[in-house]
Amino acid sequence: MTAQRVISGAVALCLSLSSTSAQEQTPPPDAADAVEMIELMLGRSPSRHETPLAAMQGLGALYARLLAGARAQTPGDLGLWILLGDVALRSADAGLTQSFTADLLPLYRQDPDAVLGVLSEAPWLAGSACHYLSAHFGSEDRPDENRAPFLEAERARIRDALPGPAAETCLTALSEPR
Amino acid sequence: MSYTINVVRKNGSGTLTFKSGSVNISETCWWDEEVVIDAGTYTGYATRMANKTDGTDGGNREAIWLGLNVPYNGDGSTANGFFIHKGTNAGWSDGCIVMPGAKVYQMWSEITPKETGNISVIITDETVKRGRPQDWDCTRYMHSSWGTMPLFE
Repeated sequence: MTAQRVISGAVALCLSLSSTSAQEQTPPPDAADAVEMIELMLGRSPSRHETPLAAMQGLGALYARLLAGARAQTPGDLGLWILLGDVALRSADAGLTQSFTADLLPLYRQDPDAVLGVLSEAPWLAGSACHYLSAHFGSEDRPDENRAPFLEAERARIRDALPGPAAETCLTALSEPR
Repeated sequence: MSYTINVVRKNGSGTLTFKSGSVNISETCWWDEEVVIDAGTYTGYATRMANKTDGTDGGNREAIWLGLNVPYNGDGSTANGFFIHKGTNAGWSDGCIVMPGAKVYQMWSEITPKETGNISVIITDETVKRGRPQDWDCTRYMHSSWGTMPLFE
């Protein structure tokens, strides 16, 4: 419990340090969700769930809440969802990465500027996000032939939106079949 | 009631077997060869994947979850999101074991109760044994340098 308070305090401190106008307009994440994500990043089982099965299902529920918020353009949820995707990829959470692979590209098509806006503010997320965009093509029997037209259609937009290295990381990921 | 699922892996594909009551499954399965669950025995749970809505019965995708901290790639890494679920090739896997959806559903339906760690999932790698290893060829250098090796009788 003490550790959870420490993490909650760290979350609050990090959130209070944000200074750009965009960040000032974005509401802070739900504290319990933020604690769960930090625990995941640290390789711990989320403390708010009592059993391993509940932890797995709770993570699925967190994914679903953030994705629903992102689709509804709830401020802040898209960034948290993309951050969760990065954690999932780094921790090889196969169930979650398969879901991100299926769900990120449709969201990008719905509002590419919103997704690129998140990556512009946190360029280190470009690698994982663009991995998911790329992996969409050819996985779960989706055709790989749509990769090249997508890449050509989005190349200029990605270069305009992202810092140079992040843009190249993204374009390289998009050009490489899974 | 407890259940056992056996997965025997070979090169690129394997065979999943499951027997319970009248259900007797022996089916080809696949996995992502870049994320390979370590051979071993894991506690499985018949459940559904929270964010996949393409289940055979119209609900979320039916699956067997392998629990927390499952080791993979033989390097000490562990992960929490490995399942056995439907799929027609390795392109359906980021490390999960996949096999045709009808067979997953048949197996999943047989397992009761759901959401309980009542399954032993045994993953093994098939090893090929062809007798004793060949002896070291102490004459190889002589062969290559001198051509034909003389016979010693």
